[in-house]
Amino acid sequence: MISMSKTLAAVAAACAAAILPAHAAEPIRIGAISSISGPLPLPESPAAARAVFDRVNAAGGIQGRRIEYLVQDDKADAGASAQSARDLVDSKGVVAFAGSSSLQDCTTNGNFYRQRKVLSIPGVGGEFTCYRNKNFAPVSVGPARNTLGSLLYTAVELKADKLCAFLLGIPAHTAGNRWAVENFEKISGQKLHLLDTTVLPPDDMTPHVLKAKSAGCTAIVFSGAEQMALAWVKAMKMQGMGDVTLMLMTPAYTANFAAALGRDGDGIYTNSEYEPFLGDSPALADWRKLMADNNIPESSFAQGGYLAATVLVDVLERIEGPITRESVTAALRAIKGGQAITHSMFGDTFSFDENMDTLKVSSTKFVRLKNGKWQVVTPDYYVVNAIQ
Amino acid sequence: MLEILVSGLIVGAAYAALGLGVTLVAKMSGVVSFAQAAVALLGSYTGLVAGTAFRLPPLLALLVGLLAGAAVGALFGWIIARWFQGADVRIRSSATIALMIGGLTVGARIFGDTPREAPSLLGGHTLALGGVTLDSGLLAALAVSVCLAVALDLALHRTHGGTRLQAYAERPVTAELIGIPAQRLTVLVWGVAGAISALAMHVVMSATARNANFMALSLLIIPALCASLIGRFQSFYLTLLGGLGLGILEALLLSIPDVAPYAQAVYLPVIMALLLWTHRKEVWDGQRG
Repeated sequence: MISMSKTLAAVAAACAAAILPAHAAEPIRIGAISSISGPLPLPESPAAARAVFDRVNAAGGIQGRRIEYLVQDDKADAGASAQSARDLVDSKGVVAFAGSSSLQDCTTNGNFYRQRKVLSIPGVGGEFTCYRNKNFAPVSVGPARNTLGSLLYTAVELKADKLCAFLLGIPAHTAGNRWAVENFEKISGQKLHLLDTTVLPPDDMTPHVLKAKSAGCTAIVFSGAEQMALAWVKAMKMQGMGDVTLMLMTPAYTANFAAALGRDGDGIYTNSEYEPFLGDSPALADWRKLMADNNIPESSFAQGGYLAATVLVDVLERIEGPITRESVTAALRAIKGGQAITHSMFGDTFSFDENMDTLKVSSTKFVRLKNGKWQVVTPDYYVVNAIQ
Repeated sequence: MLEILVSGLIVGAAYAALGLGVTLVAKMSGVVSFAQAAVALLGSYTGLVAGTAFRLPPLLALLVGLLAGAAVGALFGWIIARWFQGADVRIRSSATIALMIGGLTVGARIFGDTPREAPSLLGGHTLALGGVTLDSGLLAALAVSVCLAVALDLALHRTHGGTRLQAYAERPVTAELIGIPAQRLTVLVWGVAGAISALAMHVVMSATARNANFMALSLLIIPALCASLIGRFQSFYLTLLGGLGLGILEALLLSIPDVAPYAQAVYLPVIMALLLWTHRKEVWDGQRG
């Protein structure tokens, strides 16, 4: 009898010993929802975030716990996005999201995250909701602020007198387009010569370009993605509009775009949401090495994923007690005012302040194609303060 | 106005040229091929990739593309002929939807989302018309399409082979019973349509300003089907006019600010109006019956 109870005690002790360290080493689960397949694949952001987390794990993790990074592909489908959010939050128990790059996440899951009190730092925020819903704090500048910055830079710095804007007509951009144009008119006191928000991804760009030609635009801001921008440049060239100033958005700032156009693209401008990644600034050194070590192609999206993960790791390291969803949410919410995080790769500071207008300030740098290569034309960030 | 007409012509030429392939398959093998854009893309992309990889001269690369289009078309035709010969026309057309999805999935895997640049058919020679500049290759391709339409029409109505094809399209089983080699004819028709469609897609990529990536171009099947529907899947001439008409209508709508956002939705009312018009007598017949 005695030996039996001794055995049981020994077994219980052994079990406790086995369970306790296992519990202590429970991984910190971080989620991401990305449109990895679908019409506009964005796999770079979560790939770059994973590289950051892997490096933290290799150095012993945080509080001795390793980070388990769970990425789900929503295929740019709202239903799949909602399903992924519920799986990651309710079943997998993620403490926060970082490096998401979805075309649906912010609009579809914003209210769900609010209910569950879980926060997200997207690496790429394409939807206007990402900057309006207070459960998200994207590191990216996003299409609306990019558009505003580009319009102001072209009108004020490049002194374009007949500035025309051709903005992407997809529903996720409607509110952002309106916000950008209203702010542009209030800040600059100028009216756009022509505003067209009907350009869609599968369009032949010729009718749109002809509209600009007959309106006599001397400068055009075009917000289509990289491949649409290539078609746009082709149509402009075909219609003899080579002398018109063309300003594109961050997605066109790629080596592929420059290579596809060669010297034909000389004079085209675009902006960069972060330190221009094709440049040689020392601010890029750590990011560049990490991307190279992990075979991730360099892009703005990869910068976004890296920054989102870096910011979250910084916040996790500040937490003194146990790392849970509650403590992570509280720590993220405390990132405001003097606590705001800075990084040499972006012009703004990062904060997660519920009472702050995320859209208020934006900083981008402008680049221009010269001899078939992108060159930085604003060494300092071009800062815009929005009015509303 | 002339500007809208010409820019509509550029947009519509793409629809018309692809629509011809759809009409050819529908008329001669009795199937509405939803897979035609997939066949065209697999063919023309193979030509472009081979051209870059082996540094082929542009025309040779185009020829490789046409042969690849013919091969993919023939393969799809063989699948339809082999397994869906006796099936109802609706089932056969549905089978082409499966082929479309399969073709697009395989293509997207192989070719990714990088847009491709196709060399102009006439070495970049351009033509100005009403203040709008056109790639001459586009007009050349339209001329080739018209010639093809005329040639196909004549071949169908004036030759023994054409009569056999028509007989087969209308009554496949009966045609087979009287000794017409149905399977071989289907494969031939699909192969020819594949080559024509690959040519059309090459011209779309070289002479129009579209996002030239695989999945974006695959959406062209919708206006192409619409153009073919205007030709009632029978008339090459009406398909051609239908495609150009759709392009001009789209360009016209884009020029009116209030309706411009809906320009891409123009196909639906056009299809509805057409179906109502072409079936107007059937309704009355039905009422009387």
